[in-house]
Amino acid sequence: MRGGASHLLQATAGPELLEPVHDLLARLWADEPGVDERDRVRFEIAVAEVAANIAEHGAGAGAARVSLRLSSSPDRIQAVFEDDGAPVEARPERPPAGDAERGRGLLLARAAVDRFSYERDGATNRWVLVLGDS
Amino acid sequence: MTQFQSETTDTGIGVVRPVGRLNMVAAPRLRSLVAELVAQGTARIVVDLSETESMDSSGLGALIAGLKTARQAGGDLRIAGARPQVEAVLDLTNLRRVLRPRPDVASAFAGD
Repeated sequence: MRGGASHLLQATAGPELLEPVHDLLARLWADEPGVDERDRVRFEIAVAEVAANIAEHGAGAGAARVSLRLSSSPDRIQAVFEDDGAPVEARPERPPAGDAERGRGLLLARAAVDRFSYERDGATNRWVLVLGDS
Repeated sequence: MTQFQSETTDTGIGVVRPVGRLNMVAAPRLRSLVAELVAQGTARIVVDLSETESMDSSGLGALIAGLKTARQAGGDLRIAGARPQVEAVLDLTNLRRVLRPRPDVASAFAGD
């Protein structure tokens, strides 16, 4: 039975965001030893891709701040990112060609979790990733 | 910080081993390492992922770039020793046929 752990990271958008995100994930898993490896891997893949997207595109588009809250409840684990970068093109992504070197990040994030959403709320980008019951 | 170890085997195969995370920070270095090996005449390359903690889409992009570079020079790039995280990334992106994981470095070019 999972408890109700919640962890918050507030950071600057840029490549230096990535290591603290992994540290935060490690803290979530320490609280939730019951999550199996397959779920841990999938959730981490999705969280890492969104973090990388914010780190790469956010920094170039004026994003200064990003927050990440990881939370868990008995049936689900959830990540919520908020950043103040430029709006993200919410176009439906099609898989790139097999030899393409770019364009897989958000597609990979979507494929890895049970629910993936992005919305623009005022000046904020909000990304919600859920594994488990949504 | 992700480290890269590289060596050339006595059969002329270049082995590159990323230690740590293969992400947007480390991916450009993997690309240039592979490009250097190919420029020096080593076009058969194994990327040993046995010590790669995690790989994201940037890391995947660097592997595909390396694959193209090696093949253009008449060689190939193969991956070996992938952990479950890398296997999951290959599955979720449907790239298992493009970058077919080999069990280990020794078997990556066995029989070629």
